[in-house]
Amino acid sequence: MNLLAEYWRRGRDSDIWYSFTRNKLVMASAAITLLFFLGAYGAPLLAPHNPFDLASLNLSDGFKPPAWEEGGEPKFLLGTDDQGRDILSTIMYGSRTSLSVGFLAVVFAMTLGIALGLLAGYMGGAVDAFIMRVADVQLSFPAILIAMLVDGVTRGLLGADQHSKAAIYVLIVSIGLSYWVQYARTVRGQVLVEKNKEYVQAARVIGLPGPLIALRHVLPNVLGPVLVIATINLALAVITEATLSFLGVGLPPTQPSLGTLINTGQQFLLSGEWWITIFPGAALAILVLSVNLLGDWLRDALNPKLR
Amino acid sequence: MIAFIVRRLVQAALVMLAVAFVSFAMFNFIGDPVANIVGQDTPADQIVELRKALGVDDPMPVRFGRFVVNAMQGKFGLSYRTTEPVGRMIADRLPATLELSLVAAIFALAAGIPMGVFAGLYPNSWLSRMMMTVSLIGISLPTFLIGILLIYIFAVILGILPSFGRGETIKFGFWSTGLLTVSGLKAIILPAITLGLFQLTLIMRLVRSEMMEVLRTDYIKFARARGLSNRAVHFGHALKNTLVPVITITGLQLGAIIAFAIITETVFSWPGVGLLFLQSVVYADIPVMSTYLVMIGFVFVVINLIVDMLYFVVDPRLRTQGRTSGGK
Amino acid sequence: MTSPKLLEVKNLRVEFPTRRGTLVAVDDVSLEIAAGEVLGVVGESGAGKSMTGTAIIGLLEPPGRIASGEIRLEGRRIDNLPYHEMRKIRGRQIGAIFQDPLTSLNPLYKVGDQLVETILTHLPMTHAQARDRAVKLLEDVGIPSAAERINSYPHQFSGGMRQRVVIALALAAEPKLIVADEPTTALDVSIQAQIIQLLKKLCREHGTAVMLVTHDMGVIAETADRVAVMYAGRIAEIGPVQEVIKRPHHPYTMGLMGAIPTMGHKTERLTQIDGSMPRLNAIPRGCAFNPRCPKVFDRCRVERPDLMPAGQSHASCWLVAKEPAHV
Repeated sequence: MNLLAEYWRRGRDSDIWYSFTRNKLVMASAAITLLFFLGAYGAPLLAPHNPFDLASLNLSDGFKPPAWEEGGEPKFLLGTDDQGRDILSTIMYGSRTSLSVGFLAVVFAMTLGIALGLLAGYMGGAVDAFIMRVADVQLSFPAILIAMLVDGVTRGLLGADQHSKAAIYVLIVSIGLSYWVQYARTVRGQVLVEKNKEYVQAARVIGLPGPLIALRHVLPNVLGPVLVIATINLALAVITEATLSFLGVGLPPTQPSLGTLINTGQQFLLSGEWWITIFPGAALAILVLSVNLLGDWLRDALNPKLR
Repeated sequence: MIAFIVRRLVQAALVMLAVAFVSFAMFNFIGDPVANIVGQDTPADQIVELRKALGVDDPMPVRFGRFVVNAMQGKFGLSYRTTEPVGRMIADRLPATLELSLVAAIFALAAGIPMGVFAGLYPNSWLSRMMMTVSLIGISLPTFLIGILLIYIFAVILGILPSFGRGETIKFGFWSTGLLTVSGLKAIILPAITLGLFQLTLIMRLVRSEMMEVLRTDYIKFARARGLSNRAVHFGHALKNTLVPVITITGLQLGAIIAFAIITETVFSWPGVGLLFLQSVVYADIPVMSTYLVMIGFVFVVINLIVDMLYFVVDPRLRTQGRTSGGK
Repeated sequence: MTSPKLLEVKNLRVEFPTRRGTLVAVDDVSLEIAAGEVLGVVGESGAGKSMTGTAIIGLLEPPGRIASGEIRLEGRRIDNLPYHEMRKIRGRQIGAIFQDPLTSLNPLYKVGDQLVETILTHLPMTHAQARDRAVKLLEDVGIPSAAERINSYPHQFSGGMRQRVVIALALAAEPKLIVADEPTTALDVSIQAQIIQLLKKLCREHGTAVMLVTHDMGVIAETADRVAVMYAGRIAEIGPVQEVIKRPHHPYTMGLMGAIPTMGHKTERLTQIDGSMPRLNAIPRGCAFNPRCPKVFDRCRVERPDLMPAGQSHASCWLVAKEPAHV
């Protein structure tokens, strides 16, 4: 407990905490992001309905407008979709899928990027040249295109049925593959800086394996930038997932994310049932905006030089 | 300068070769091209003959060479989905995408640059602050969501603009244009705004920060000290100096616009190559996917080359490299 | 109020509001420049000398501002003119030369175009006349084959040549005063003297007055008619250049003189002033120089001295006070 108190005190006195408490917009963003995580991962407990429990669905509840509109019912705060599913609940479950995919994709991209960055920086020479060249070429293509290509290729390899079962993993990998470059560049740069420092040379002299040294000394130094990239990437990954799902090459309707919800709702927009698509859309926009604001602030707070 | 161009051309060719190889690899190693053409009841000897005719069993370098030669002639094989020649499918739909991308790019530049200049000149005015806040929201909104919102407002609520399709088109040879009919022009407004909005915010933010940077330089202060008018200082001296980075980003964004058109075309059912690509992803139609990849790669490489050439036009320091010593 | 003086600065105060309070960069500075006169302004960096020059040409960068005092050019107040009025004075009446010739010229325009642009802004000429004048100006500042070089870009000139172009630009519309802010600091030592000589010669020919801001006492001694020594935003001493050099009254000026190597006194060590100038947010009470002053006494720590007559000069130092403490 004492240790915790100590950490708390130290955190409270830090510059980052100070800049956090000074910025109302950032505090609001953090609160909203937290709320999304709570709502998403607490969905089975907190959501008013379980939209995937087919037994509880009633088609006569379909197309109910939001509670405050004429014809709305209080038990469906944000209305229902064509099958009578409660929009608020689908948003909560959908956010869970969106956040999970986004989060895992970022972790995948981060792991891959850090590994390749360490490798490139440490090995140098042809390995370095090859990895960084691939990074350059990939960077000149939009991430969404890479993700779609990976998705299409796996579809070709697996066949449609298999693909639909593995969709969530395919999505994580394809989004992850499209965002590794930034991590690799950051880590590689740091490796090149650290590589020639004396303690690394010394460690090598006493026979420690090179990659281990690199890992131990480089990682603490890149933690800040990597965290910033990861935060901003989370927003990007959520957008990418939503976009892919919206385009119908992401998650199937049985496993809806926010993007899938917006996609299925879009067809009702022209007939006037706007809430089916607008609310998940607003949820997505607010989530991404909050995470983006957090990422922006984090970048400034961790790196005052860039301001 | 010639040496520079030659170097860039060689680089471009290498990138194209790399892209072609990825595309070729997709084409060759995913699924069996023969199995995709023949039916289940095709006799075995016919399959063998077809394999020979298609050269599927040749050594890899030979097949890659053939792929490149064919690609340069616009021959990309047949679509698995429609069994049409892929080259023609893409050529048919290219005008729609190019027109959309061009209009979107013009919109993004025509609105983004003046807005960025204004925000850079008067960073503290309420209008600049508002533009910056709105642009942050613009960056956070996924493209497809912007499209849906625009459809909801202008097509559903106001009912003044169409929500899908290209309107009437007029054919000029192989090129079909929607820019010469009223319905075509009306149809392009919403998709172009959707597609251009993200680039607009990007260009605006870039021009703003570049402008603020340049306005702090000594030569701007000296230009003021020479008594030049505000207009000459801002638009003659400052703006021109912001152009180099703006050209770079704009060039890259132009390529991105064509790729992002996939999303916009889907939202608005716009009959372009993006929509075709999406369908090919859904149906794992590898020939169309790999052709699209080659095409996008080509567009990127060409744009990059043009951007490099534009540097020479804008920045005399590059133009005269190699004889700077003459000034001593 | 008519005055024979070309430029009059009275009780000028320049402030920079910051989050941690207002910094006073220039505090109660008064000086005059007569037509054709060269006034040297000397001091350490941060003493407020450049800021005074920048205030005179009206280009203080916000949030910096003139808080009080006035600047008059030929008797007309110019410190409170709106931007478009002041713009007609800049370049036409008051020219400016900045420290770094490498960054003073716009890299994307030919030097000729920058000259023609300046000339056409201020003088009623046709484009062809302006171009002839531009060539003439480049010849005047000693650029060889000016008629060809007019089509060169700034990066095609060396540093010294670029500063010559900058001088040509400053003189383009025959201003009556040139504010030259450290015009040679960024140049090679060998070129510094050439540029100073050129500036001196041209200004004498054109009858242009110069406010020469520098930290180099040697340049001042060679060039200026009168000199103002600044310290921590205030004028420490002002007077004819020979008087200030030979008979400095302010201990700070004495210290500065001790820091110039002179011929003939080979054995004498160069003296230096201990400590450094206070930061603008920590200027001590009383005389700002008192913590470093070798002759400090009680009054210096309490009361701030104004400029007082001292021989042919004026110095803000209680040592030269004729009358005892008042107020």
